[in-house]
Amino acid sequence: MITMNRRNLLSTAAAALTMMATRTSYAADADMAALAAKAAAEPMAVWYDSSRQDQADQVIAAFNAKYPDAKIRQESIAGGNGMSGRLMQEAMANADSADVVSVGGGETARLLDTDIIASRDWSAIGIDPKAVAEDKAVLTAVSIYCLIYNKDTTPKVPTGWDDLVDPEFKGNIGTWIRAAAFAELAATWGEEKTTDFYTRVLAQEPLFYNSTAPLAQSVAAGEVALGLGIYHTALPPLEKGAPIGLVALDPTPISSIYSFATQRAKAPNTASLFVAWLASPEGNAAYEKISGRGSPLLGSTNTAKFLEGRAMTEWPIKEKASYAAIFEKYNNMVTAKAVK
Amino acid sequence: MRTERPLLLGQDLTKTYDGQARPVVNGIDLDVRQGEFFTLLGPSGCGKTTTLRMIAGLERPDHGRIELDGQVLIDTAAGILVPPHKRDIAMVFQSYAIWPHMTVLENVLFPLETLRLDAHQRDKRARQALERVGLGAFADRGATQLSGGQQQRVALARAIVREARLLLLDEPLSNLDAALREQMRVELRDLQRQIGTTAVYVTHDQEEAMALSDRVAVMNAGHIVDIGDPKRLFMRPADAFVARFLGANQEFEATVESQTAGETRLRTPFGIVPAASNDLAPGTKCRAFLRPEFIECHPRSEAAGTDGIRFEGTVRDVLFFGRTVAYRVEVGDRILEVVSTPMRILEPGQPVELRTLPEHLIAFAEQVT
Amino acid sequence: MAKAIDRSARAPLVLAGGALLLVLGYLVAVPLVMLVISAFKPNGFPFESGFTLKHLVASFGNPLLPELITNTLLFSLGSTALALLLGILLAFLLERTDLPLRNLWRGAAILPMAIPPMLLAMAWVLLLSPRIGAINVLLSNWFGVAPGTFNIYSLSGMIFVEGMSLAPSAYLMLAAPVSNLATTMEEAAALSGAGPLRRLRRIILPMLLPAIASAAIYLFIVGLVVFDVPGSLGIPARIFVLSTHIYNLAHNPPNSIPALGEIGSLSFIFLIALAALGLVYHRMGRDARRFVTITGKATAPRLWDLGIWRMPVTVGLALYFVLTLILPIAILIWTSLLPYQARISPALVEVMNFDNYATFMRNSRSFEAMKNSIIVALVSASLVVLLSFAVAIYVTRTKGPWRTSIDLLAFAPMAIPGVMIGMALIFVYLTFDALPVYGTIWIIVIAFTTEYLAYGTRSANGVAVQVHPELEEAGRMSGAGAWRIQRRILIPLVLPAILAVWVWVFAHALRALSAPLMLQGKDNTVMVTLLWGYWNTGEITIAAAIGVVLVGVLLIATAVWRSAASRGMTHAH
Repeated sequence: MITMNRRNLLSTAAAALTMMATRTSYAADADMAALAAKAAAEPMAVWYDSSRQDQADQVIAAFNAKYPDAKIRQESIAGGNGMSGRLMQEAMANADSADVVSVGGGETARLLDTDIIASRDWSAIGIDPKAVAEDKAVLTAVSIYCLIYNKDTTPKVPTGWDDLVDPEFKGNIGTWIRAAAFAELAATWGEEKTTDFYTRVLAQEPLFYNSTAPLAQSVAAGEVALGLGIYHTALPPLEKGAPIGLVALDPTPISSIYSFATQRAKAPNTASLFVAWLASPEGNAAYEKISGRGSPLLGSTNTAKFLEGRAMTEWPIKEKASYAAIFEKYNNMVTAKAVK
Repeated sequence: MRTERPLLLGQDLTKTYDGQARPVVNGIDLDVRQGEFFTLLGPSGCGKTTTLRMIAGLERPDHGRIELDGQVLIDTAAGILVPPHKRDIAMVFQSYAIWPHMTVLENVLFPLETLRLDAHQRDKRARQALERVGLGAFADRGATQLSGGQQQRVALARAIVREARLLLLDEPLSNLDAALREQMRVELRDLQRQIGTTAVYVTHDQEEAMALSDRVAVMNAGHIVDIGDPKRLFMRPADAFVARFLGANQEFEATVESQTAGETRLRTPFGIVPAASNDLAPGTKCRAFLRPEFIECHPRSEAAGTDGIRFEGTVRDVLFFGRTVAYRVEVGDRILEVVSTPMRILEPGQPVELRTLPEHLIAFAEQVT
Repeated sequence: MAKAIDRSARAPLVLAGGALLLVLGYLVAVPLVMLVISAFKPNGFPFESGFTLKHLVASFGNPLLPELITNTLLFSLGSTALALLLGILLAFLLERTDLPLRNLWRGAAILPMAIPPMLLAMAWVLLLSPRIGAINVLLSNWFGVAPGTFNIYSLSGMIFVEGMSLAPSAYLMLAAPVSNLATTMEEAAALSGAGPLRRLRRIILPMLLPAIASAAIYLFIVGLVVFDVPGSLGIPARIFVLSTHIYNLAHNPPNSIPALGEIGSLSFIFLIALAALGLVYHRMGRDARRFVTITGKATAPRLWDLGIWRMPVTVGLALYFVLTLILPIAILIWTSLLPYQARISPALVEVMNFDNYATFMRNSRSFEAMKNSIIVALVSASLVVLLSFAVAIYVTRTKGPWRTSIDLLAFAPMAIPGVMIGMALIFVYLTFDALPVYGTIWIIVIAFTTEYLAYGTRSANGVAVQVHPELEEAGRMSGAGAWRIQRRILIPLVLPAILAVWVWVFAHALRALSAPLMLQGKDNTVMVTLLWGYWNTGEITIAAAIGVVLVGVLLIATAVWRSAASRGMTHAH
C-alpha cells in the first residue's frame, strides 16, 4: 500500500531532514538569486489561489521582502469553484490566465493530465524530490483534519476516531458537508471499514457545515461539543482564547496543496521563484504563519510538529480517481437521509 | 306613494375637510318624506355629495345627527355611529362601481347574501330586479362586457334588489350621453314610483332635478338656500342665486317704485311695471329676473288687450334652435330675449309687442358684495 | 382595448420592438443557450466537442430527485405563502387604513431588504441555533424552556426566514395595486350590506387577484432558485433543495471540477416550471386588463377606520419589525463586537471591542469593495428600470411585433440560478472578448441586469395594466406624439412604481452573493464577496462587522430613496 510506504518515507524524511538542511543549507539560494534576477525583468505574475485576499497579500509581502523586484499578485478563486475548470476554460479560449497556481491534490491530478502545468527541474533549485509530483507540481502545504472539542461543554475529553461514534456525543458533533476526511481515511482503512464507520457517524445526527472554519467557531461557541475539522481553521478561535482543544487523529487525513507554474505563463521565472520560495523553509514558515498551513516535509514547521508520531492518510496523486468515487459516494450518503 | 311622514331626518349636519378653512357642509337640516323623490341640487363644491355620503355613512359628520325611520344612524353628541353596511340604505354610484370579476347576476345577488333567503329565492329576486331594469337577458354576461348605460342599469338593479328603505343616487346619469340620459330619467322616475322606495338624488343638472323630483333642496357653499317642489322653485325662487342656478338667465337692474295694496311696482329699464309681489321697501335697488320663456312675442299689428305687462319693441335677431326659437328684441335702448315655439317665426326688423304677467317678473334686493 | 395604429406609427414600433428583442436576446438567450448546450457536453463546457446524454441520465435518474423536488416545493410554497400574507397585510395596513404614523411604517416596511439573505440566515442562526442561539439561551435562562425547542435548522426555520426576507418585495409589488384599487368598489359593497370581512373576501381580494397572482408567481420562482437560506439553514440539517444540490455540484463535486453538465441538465427542470408558470401568468395578464382601476376621475381613496384595532395593529406591526429588522441587526451588532463567537451572556460585555471593525478597515480591499458595490448597484438598478419599463410599455400598450417573445425573454432569467448566470457569463465573455468585461465589475452589472430584469418587468407590467388607456388617449388628442405622451403622462403616473423598482434592484444588487462570487476577478470585489471570504475562513465576528457596515449602507440608501419615492406618490394620504 502506497500509504504505508508514505508513512515510512515521511518518518525517515523527517529524521533526515535536519541533516539535509544543514547539508544543502538551501545552497539553492544562489539559484534562487539567479531566478530572481530574471524575474525582475518580467511583467506582473498572477497567482491563482483560494486563500482570502488579505492573507494572500501578506504572503506576497513576505515574498517581496526577500525578492523585491519580482512582481506578483493574487487572484482569489473561491475554493471549490473549480480552479482546474477555470484554467482549462482560459486555456481553451487562449485568454489571459495564471502564471502560478496553488490548488488541492484532486484538481492537481486532473491538471497533470493536461498540458497546463509546466515542467521544471525543481530538485535543481533544491526542493526535496519527495515533494514533487511528476516533475511538475510541488507540495507546499497540507490541510490537516483533526478533532476539535469544547473544553467546557464536552462530556469527556476525546482521544481519537472512536469518539466520533461514541453514544455520549450523539447529537453533539459537527462535521464538514464534504466527506473529504473520510474519503482520505479510506486510503488506509480500506473502503469497507471506512464506509461502515461513516454510516455510524451519520447515525450520530451530526450538524453539517459548509466549510470547516464555521465548524471550528461553532465548537468554540459551544453549539456542538466535538467536531471533525481542519487544523488551520481551528487556529484563529484558539488564538483568540476560545476554550477549545485540538486532538490529532491516527491516522490523520490530510489534503495536500500543490503549487506549480503554468505552461502559458507570461512570467515563468517569477512563477518558479515563487513556488520555490513557498517550498523553502523560510517561505513556508512565512506562509504557515499567515495561513496556518505548512508543509509536513519541512521539519521546522508547526505542521510537521503537530503531526509528529502520527501516521498520515491520503490517496496518492495518481489514485485520485478512487478518491473521487468514494468521495461522491459519501456525499450522496449525506444527501440521502436514511434516518429522517 | 308619496306621504307626509318623515323617513329621514338630518339635524345640524356639519363637516369640514382636513386642511380647509370653511366647512363643506355647514349646519344643514334635512327631512325627507317616505316615498318621495328628493334631490340635492347645486354647483360643484356646494356640499351635496358630501351630504349624501354622510347619509350613506361613507363620510362622518363632525357634528350632527341623522335618523332613519326612527333609528339613529349617527349622533355626534351621543357618540352613536352605525357603519354603512348596517344601515338599511342602498346606493347607486356615479361610476357605477360594478364589480368586474363577477357576472351581472352575481353583482345583483351580492346584496342578498346577508338576508335569510335560500339560493332559489335569491336567484328569483335578483332576476326580477334585472327584469325591472330591462336587463333580464344579460344575467350571465361578464360585468365588464357592458356598455355604460347597461352598467348603469346593473348598478340600479343591484341597489333596488334589497328593497332597502332609502335609495341614494350620486349623479348616476352624468356619465351617459344626452339621449340616454333623458331616457334613463324617465325610467328612473317610473321605477321609483313603481317600487315606492324613498330616493335621495344628487345632481348639478337643474333640468334633471326638475324632471325627477318631488322636492328639491338647492345648496350653495354648504347651506340649503331653498327647498320646495320644482314648480314653486322655478316660479318663485327664494333668492337670486337660486334663480340663476335654475336657469333664469335674463336679469336687469330695477328699483322698487311702490308697494300699495299688495301690489308691487318696479321701475325697470323698460318702464314702470307691476311685478310679482314681495316685501321690499320702496326705493330698494334690486335685481329683476324675467325668463325668456315667460314672454310672448306678437306682431304689433295683432295687439289686443291691455292687461299684464306690455312692451313695444323691434325684433333684432332671430335664433332658430329647432324645438324653440329665440328672439332678441330691442326695447328702448335695451335687448330683451324671448323664447317661443317655432309654430310661427317672426322676421328681423318686425315690430312686435312683448307680453308677460306680473307674477313672472321677480326681484331680489341687490346684494352688497 | 384595441388601439388602432396607423401606418406611419408602424415603422418606429418595429424598430423599437427589434431593438428590444436584440438586447433581450443577447442578455437572456445567450446564457440560456449555453445552459442547454452544456447539458449535452462531456465536461459541460459549451464549446468543447462531443455530445453525451450522461448528464441528463445522472440528473433525472438520481434516486434523490423526488425528495429534492419535494423539499424544494415545500420550501418555496411555504415561503411564498408567508411572504404574500405579510405583504398583503402590510399593503393594506399601510395604504388603505388610517393607521397612525403610516409614512414611518412605509419607510420601515422596505428596510428589511437592507439585510442580505445570507446575513439574515446568519443572524437567525445566531439567534436560534439549538444550543447556543441567543433566543434559546435566554428562554432557557429566564423561563426554563429546554434548549433546542426552537431549532432554526429545520424546514420551518427555512420557510420562516425566507418568508420574512421576501416580505418587503411582496409589499412593494402589492402596494401600488392595493392603493389604486377604486374605493367606490368597496363602498358599493358596504352599501350592499357587506361588512369589512365580506368586502375583503368577496370584493377586494378577488379584484386584486391578478396582482397577487403575479406576485405569487414571482416569489415562488425565487423560492425555487434561492440559495442563501437553504444553504445556511438546510444543509446543516441535511435538508436539500434543488439550489443547494446545484451548489454542491458546483462547489463540492467529486472530481473537484464543477459538474457543469449536471447543473445544466437540472436547469431544465427550472425552465420547464418557468415555461408553465409563464404561460399561466400571461393568461392572467390578459384578464387583468378588465380590472383597470386608475381612471381620470380622481377620487381620493377612502381609508378604513381601524377604530379600536389601532393599538393592537400597531403593536403587531412593531412586533413584525422587531422580528424582521431589529433582532437580526441587534444580534449582528452584538456578534461584531465579540472577539469570537460565544454563548450569549452578560459576562461577554467585558471582552467586547471594536477590533473586528478595525480589521475590516485595515483590509487593503475594503474601500475598493465598497466603491465597487455602490457603482455596480447604481448602474444595475438604472439599467433594469430603463429596460423593464421599455419592455412593459411596449408589451402592454402597443401593438408592435414580437410582444410575446419579448415578454417571455424578459421573464426567463428568473428561473436561472445566479450560479448559472455567472457561469454562463464567464463562458460568453471569455470567448467573445470584444467586450472586455471579464473579471471587471461590468460583468457583474450584466449578471445583475439579467437577473433582476424579471422583477422589473413584472412590476412595470402590473402598473402599466392599471393605467387606463384614456389617459394616454387624452394626451394624443392634445397633439402629443408618442414620446411626449410617455414622458408627460404615462411616466409620471407610474413614477412611484419606477422608483420602487429602482430601490429594489439597488438593494438586491448590493446584497446578492452568487453571481459576484462566481465572477470574482482581479478588481471586482464587492462587499458581499469580502464578507463571504471572512465567513468562509471562520471569522464570523469579522463577517458580522462587515455585515453591520453593509446593512448600515443599505439602510441609509433605502431610507433616502423611500422618502424620495413617497414624495413622488400621487396619492396624498
